[in-house]
Amino acid sequence: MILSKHLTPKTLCLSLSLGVLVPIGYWLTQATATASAETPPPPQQAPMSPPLAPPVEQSVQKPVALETIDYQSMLEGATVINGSLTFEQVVALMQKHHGQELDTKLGQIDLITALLDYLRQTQPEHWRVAMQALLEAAFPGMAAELMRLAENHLEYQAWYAAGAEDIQQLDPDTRMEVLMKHRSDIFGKEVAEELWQHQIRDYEMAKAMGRITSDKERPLNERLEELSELVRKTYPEEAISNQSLAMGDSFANKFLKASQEELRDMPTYQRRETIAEIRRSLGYSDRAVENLARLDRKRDQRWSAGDQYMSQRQEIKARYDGEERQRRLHEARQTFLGAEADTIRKEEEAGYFRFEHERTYGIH
Amino acid sequence: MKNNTNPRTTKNVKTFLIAAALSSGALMAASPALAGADKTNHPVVMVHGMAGFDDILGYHYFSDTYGRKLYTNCYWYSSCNKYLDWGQIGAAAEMSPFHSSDHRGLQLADAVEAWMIANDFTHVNFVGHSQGGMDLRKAAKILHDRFGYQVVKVAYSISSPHRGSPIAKHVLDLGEGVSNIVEALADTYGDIVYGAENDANAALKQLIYDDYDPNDGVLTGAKQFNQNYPVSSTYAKRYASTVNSQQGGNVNPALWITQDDYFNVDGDGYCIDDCSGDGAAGQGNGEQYDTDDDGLVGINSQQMGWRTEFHYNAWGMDYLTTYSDTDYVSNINQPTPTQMTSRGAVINQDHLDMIGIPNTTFRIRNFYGAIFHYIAQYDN
Repeated sequence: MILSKHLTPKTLCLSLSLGVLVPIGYWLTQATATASAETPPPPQQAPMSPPLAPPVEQSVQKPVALETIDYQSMLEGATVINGSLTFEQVVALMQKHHGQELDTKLGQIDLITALLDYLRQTQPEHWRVAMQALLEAAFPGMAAELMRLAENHLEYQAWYAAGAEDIQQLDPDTRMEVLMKHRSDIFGKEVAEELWQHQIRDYEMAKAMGRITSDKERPLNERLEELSELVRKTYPEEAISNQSLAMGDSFANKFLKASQEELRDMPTYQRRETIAEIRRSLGYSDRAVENLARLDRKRDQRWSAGDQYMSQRQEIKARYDGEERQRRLHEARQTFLGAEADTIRKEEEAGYFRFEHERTYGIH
Repeated sequence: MKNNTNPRTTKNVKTFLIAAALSSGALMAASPALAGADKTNHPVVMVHGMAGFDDILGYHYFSDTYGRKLYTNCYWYSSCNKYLDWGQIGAAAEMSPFHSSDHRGLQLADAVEAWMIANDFTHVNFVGHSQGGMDLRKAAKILHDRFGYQVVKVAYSISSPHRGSPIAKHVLDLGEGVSNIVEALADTYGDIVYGAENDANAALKQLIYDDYDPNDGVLTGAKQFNQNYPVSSTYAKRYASTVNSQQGGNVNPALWITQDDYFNVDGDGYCIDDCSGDGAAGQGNGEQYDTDDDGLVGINSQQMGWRTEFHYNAWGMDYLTTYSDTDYVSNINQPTPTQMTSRGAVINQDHLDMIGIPNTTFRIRNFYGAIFHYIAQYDN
């Protein structure tokens, strides 16, 4: 974590209070001189695909500036920009890479952080003047709003850095409360909630899920129905319909983990049906549900073989010592554990016994 | 469903873009203009280190300062990484927050096996941060055991203590500034450490190079783990890693237990095994306060396979390329002096910056886009 000594609220306030004392001509003179140099050849391979539907002004405003950027293609599909950029080139790149994102606060903050990062490296002493000039040139109607967002962003960063150690030790609910309060104080409530919408959504979903899954007074199918409805309300359909791709983020996996007591108590056929229903209700396709049902049956066999192996292992350890014990253990592993025999031997040497851990149905 | 469609933007995505241009749905927040990483041929699995996969100091493990996920595309998800191809498939696995890599590696293999079977995938790529970079080696072996072929294409680690971390030994030894092992971990990772499924001792022993207790009848530690789960073309096609470090004063306060007041890793010297007895292979060079560690892991512990070099682009995508000067670490317990001491291609960020834990100035979405792009060059 590095915060440039030049980019702090202190320097920001100093800069604001003193007005524009740093000569704007610094950047602009430099840019003008570079811009008048011989035009370099166009890039062989652009680092980014062109916009699929660029606004008209992007294609007519700064085409020359973009074409004059000196790109260097490297091995492994990498491309870097050679040399420094002119003012016009930076403006053109800002428009190209961020112009279509400025209708959201997250899109705006992406521009601001990219710009701060660039100026931190290129003009740490005069970053604010340069930022103002670049924003006014690239997005004249929004420059003031974007500058304000930059100031808020830096203030928030400084606040967080100063209190990070304490913030991080708070319990999750208090931490979220403290964070949102300060974010709202700095950015305004509406902007803060837009900027952190994803964190807020995940946090609230996790809380709701905890409440629903722990309510063991209600039957499993009722809890499942409530969660399914909540998920569909909270997340866009595009995410729900791809839940089998979500792995750790899968709502079904979370629900399965939280329902183990009930699943354990069910007869095998009912457990299988319940697991399938959980997956289906929480966004898995029929094919994914069928594929996983087959895997679950294979897992049943693995656990059964594992239990048999552990019994035999105990017997061998009680009866034999030394080389004979090792030989018989090796045979038992080969018999019951097949291709994983070698891995399980290594686990045992490390003191880890996978079959002594409780099974999590639907997970392993 | 194989994640191998080219060109980058698929027909489906194009159709979606037209629809998106005509609508104002939630996904409009995603940018159709920004492209970035090439799409990988096979899906990518993120493997978290210590702490909860969806709760490290209140953030999802692989998310940016604003909680946007680093591994999901912006076609299906609004919480996404705009530098990924819109057809990119990526997911994060969930393992126990604090446990041995034997346990976590098995959990990872179980999760990935189910993911592959559910979605008809044939191969995967791994990106592991910190201990996750070790876990993935074990998972790669188990997946080979179960599927009968090399399942993992690219195995990529970030800030991983492949050859141990002196911090783990310092905490287990109850060294200066540590009165309780679990509380020491909670200082860094938050109260997720108090979860019932955790085994903090096993987690820390995993990160010490040698067997912590030679008299307990079991073999623990990174050295043994590396022998059991090596860098091997049997289990993965290509191994690569990011090495990073940062000077003490700049690291995240969550890592301050390890810093100036109590203990600071001196992690840029060479020797065979743990000759200095500090808990990690190699030794120091006598200077603790330089950029020889990332707050938790020395640079002499981090390289697995190829080291990669980061190329910053002021505007647009950053890239990673193979840094061949340090050559390939094929035997993870026997790196060369250069591989342990070179500062070549070391990224100047701390351990938590590499997963975007605030308050970082690292362009984390761009960095993960670069990792996906690098993987795409090698996962065919």
